[in-house]
Amino acid sequence: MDFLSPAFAFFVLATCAGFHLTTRVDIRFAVLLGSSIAFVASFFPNLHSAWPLALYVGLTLASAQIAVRLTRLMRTVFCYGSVVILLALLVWLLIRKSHQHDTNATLITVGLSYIFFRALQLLSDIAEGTLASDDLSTPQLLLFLISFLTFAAGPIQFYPSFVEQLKNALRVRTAKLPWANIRYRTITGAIKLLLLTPLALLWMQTALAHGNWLPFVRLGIAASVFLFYVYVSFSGYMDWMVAFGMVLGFAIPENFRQPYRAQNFLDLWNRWHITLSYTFRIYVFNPLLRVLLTYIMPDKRVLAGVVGYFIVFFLLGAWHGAELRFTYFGLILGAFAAITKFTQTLKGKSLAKLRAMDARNGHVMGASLSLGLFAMACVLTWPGWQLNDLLGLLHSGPRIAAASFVCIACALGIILFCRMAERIVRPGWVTGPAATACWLLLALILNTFLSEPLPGMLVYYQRF
Amino acid sequence: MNAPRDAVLSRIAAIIRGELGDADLSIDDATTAERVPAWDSLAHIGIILAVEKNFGIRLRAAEVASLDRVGTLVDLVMAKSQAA
Repeated sequence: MDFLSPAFAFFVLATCAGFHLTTRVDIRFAVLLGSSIAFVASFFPNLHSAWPLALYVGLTLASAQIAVRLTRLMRTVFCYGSVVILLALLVWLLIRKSHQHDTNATLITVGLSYIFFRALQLLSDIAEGTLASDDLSTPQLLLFLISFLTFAAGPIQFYPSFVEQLKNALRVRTAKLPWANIRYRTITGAIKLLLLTPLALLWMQTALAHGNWLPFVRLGIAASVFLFYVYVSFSGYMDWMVAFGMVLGFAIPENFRQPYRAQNFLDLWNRWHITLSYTFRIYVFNPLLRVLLTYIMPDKRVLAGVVGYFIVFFLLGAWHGAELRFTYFGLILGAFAAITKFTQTLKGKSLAKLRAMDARNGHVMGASLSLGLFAMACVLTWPGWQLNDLLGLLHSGPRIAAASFVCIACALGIILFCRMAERIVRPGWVTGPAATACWLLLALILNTFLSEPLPGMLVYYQRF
Repeated sequence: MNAPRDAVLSRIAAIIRGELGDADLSIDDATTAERVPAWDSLAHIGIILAVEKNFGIRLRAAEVASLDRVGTLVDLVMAKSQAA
């Protein structure tokens, strides 16, 4: 289902109305589960095309229900074995999808990798004995895996927190809902998705086609605009999911927290796609560091950290797709993370002065470097591009270096603008009645005058 | 072992100061990692391992994920120590 379609607006209204028409807990749960099944079904043109999702959800549910009934040792082996099988299945499906232009069949994998992360934490918690069979009713688990609030592009919620919220949601009263916040998030999301996202895609197209600009300027500006597009489309989607979640009594976890205030590349990931990096931290980084610091390099904390950050950020980057370019993307993110950690441990007078200066200026330098270099690395993830085309565009080391400077300069401009706007702009200016009418009119004009469909997905992270 | 809460807090505070290399760091129940610049993911796992060793307990992934401030860690350590 397209998030900007009238069908989606009708779906949300119908779900919210159906949910609040009754106070009966069982009917409310049925509305949530039924609407989520209908939402998921809308991504598939026929029953046959839903087999990857049905297989994946079925395997996860069966693994959880079997594991929770096993003895401790068997449970551990079974849970981690199931995680390996689910990961292998995901990789196989994504590789098959990346080669689907060779076949007539269309493989639909939307939502699968988010379900994998939910399965990972679910099975890890069962293996460690933190979840018991009483906590795991199949309808509740199914809703956790496919809830329309988190299915298409996350966020990745933790099961205990989901269960707690579900209990509250099923008893929530309409009068107690935070309506002002719901209105603010809905309008902010609409501005991002209806106005800024198409604008960003248009700017990116224009920058790449601008023959009068030097190639490195074109590349740097297009890379910066692409990161802006990922941010506005994904955070716009998040605004809507958080708002719709509030209407239904859920507190959907946030995925962004002022990324323009990041102190360095590692801190950027505490502020960008937060639930993904948090899941990686808890279920990959922590166990990995536990092994490294306990058995392999107990006296080499810094080295263990550098190795740990490299591996985790490599996996985080490679997760973005099953093509070789995403492996390169992972290697670059891993290198950025490892270098950041290493430089943090360096001592010296001039370095201390530089750090103090950056801290005095609100870490503008750290934020610009992090966002600028991240934008440049994200070139490898541009949707619809092949590795050879991208390598042709990147061309050579000097062009990449020069384009990176352009990205850092663009990031600096955006960061200063955001920080200034944060101080000056009042919520009413953005979401007041007059402002809302202006935004909607602008969005209508923009979308009417776009002569041809824009490339890429509307919400970048919806493609997984 | 059923250590009084203040004693557990003071032991955990000493561990955190040692791991972060800051003997003057003020730590109470409300202290969060976000408010301490040196407390990153690497320092965090160092603190968790040191707490486990010091109290002879094992913290699970979901329990580590639920830690939002020092007070939660103190409560968790006390519950685990009592159960052991």
